[in-house]
Amino acid sequence: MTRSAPRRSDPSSDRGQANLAALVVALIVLTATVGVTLGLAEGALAGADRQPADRRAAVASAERLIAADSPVTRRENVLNASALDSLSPERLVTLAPPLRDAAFVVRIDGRSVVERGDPTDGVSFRRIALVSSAEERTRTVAADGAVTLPRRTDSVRLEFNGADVETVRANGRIVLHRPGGLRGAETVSVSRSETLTISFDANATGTVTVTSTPERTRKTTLEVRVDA
Amino acid sequence: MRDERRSACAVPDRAQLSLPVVEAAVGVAFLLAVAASFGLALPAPATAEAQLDAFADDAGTVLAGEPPRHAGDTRLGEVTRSPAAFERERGALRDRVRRILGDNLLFRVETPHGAVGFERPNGVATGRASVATAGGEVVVWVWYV
Repeated sequence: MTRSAPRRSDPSSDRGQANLAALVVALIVLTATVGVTLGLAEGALAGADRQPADRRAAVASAERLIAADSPVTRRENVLNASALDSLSPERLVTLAPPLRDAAFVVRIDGRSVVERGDPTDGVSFRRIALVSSAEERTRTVAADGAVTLPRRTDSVRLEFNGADVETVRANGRIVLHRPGGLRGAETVSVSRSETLTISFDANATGTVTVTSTPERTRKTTLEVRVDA
Repeated sequence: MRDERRSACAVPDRAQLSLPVVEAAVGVAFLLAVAASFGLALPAPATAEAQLDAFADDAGTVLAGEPPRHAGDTRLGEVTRSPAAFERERGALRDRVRRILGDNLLFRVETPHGAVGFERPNGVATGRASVATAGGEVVVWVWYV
């Protein structure tokens, strides 16, 4: 015991300075690591920013543009070509209020349709839709025969000037009937999902003007880009 | 007594590891663990899936709104009517979906009588939409090439 006591005290007095250096090195290493960690955390947080306000506005306005009750569609996901031309930024903001204070552009197949401001950096959302354009097709048919419309339509207008017709059938179903003879012009709504054959009653004479509005659709991509 | 003396002698020979260095090593390991959790544990943004879901939904809506080629209420109703109708229409359905979706998307359309399109891959973001028809459910899967 008497020998071991001074031995134990000697090395501890030698190690005093070494401990201080180790402490300094340890603090420096720790501080550097804290700095690197903060940098990583900052980068991760910046990368996690998904611009939720812009995204919400883009998703909501794209959804409302192609909805069935939108002013620019005929039915769900089918855009009306002529109504698209009359779409203004003000009407679009009324339709989709999240766009109120944002710069936005609506593109159809890359062509800008509505634009306000310059949304260079922002969120874009795409939807797939059809653009339909309807054109009137008029043909004159003899009332003693039947006519099959080559392309499907959702409404047919018939003009009976110069004809004596009591009954009109669409695919065998009676859609118009007047005992004394039909007069003027009548519009009939028909199913878009079947080919239409129009026939008249057996005693019909003269000619009937049949006007149908077949629609032609093409596929398109609707893109809304919003930068608030 | 002998054991105690031997241990007391052994300490100065082995040069005890400096405690601050040990603490610093533990601290660095802890901080790096926190940093790694920032780098690794953040989920990837699910924005691609939202976009793909919208594409699948649009494809299903467009198909469900199209008139049938022969019989049935809609184009999707036609392919779910019977196995024979599906076999007859599968080529046309595949071409139609391919045209609707464009070149950068692959797809699979599953009907009660079979499926058209490509095999669904594992591990990529996919969008899904289902359409109810009179003959059963039609599921549209969409993913990027």
